[in-house]
Amino acid sequence: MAVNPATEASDALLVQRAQAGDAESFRVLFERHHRRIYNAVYPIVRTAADAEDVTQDAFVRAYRALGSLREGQAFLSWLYRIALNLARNHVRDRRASLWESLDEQVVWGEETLERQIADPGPGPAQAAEEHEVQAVVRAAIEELSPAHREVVVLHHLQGVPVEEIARVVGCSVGTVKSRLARARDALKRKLRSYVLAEP
Amino acid sequence: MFWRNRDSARKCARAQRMLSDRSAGLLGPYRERWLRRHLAECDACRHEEEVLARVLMLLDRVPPLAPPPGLWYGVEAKIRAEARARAAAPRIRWKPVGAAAAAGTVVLLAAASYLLPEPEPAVTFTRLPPDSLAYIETHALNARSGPLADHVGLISFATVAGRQRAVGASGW
Ligand SMILES: [Zn+2]
Repeated sequence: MAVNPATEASDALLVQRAQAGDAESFRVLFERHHRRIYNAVYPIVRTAADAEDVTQDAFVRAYRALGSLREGQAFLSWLYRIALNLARNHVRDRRASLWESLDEQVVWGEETLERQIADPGPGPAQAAEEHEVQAVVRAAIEELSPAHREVVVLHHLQGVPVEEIARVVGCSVGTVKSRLARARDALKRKLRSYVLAEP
Repeated sequence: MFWRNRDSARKCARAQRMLSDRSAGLLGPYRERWLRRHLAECDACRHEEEVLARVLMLLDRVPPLAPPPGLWYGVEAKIRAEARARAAAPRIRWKPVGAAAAAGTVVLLAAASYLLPEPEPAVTFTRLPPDSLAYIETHALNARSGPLADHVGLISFATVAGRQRAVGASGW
């Protein structure tokens, strides 16, 4: 099987090439990271359409600012920072807008579930149960405060280590751990009846 | 009796907070020992430990969402639109008078190459394939109904996509 050298290259090398004007390298960076960015901003902006827009805008901003990325600076952390800032601003602008209506507030519901990666493994009953679990957990995460939600999404849903989250969010590792602990307290309160009802 | 209950309720609240702290790696050896001793003698807090473990396991069952296909084409279209807008912006042209002015311009240009930020990378994307044109047009149509939609942006995307569709294989 032929291997595309661009897709095998490290982020740092791709960034270097993109900085020199190689658009294909930037496209590879997009392919590599856009799922993470989409999943990081979705719980903040809460609708698929907004998550799409913010993801796209984050990459456009990143492309525009590639020249400011220092050598050795991790592209993904930098990109997360851009995306999370855009998502927070997006929510703030939406809240500030006079046009906001209540029915716009789409929670993690069917729209989200339809987008899940199809898993042919379990039977229909088991799949329905999994969907229910995911919807309940996502709804609980969405109810967290923005600071807690961010660390839970990055750490639990995306597997980002706390040290990396500290760099992305711009606070100490201790603060990230403390937010994670309080967020878990909150999730335990929200999900306790659900886990106790489970067999 | 009342005082003893209140004291044990306080200890349990402390222990339950420590359970989350421990799960996040925040517990030092002293508090860890205290918690272990409390758990050894308190059924309610052992139960809370179990609830927390099950909640954390629940979080592991949430897979990442799949973004819709074709997102890249929106990024590409936005970058192209920006590059075009920059290219179309009016430029100031100087008419240097005499050798002194010419020399001054050279000095200024040399200084600018040190002081100004590096130029953005040139946009040399490949042509958008037909499925991306359909994606952009559909997205623009769907998003138009949103009260906060960026109508100017959406119309530009739809126009760019439509124009490219009209041009067909002949390129940009
Ligand atoms: Zn206790």
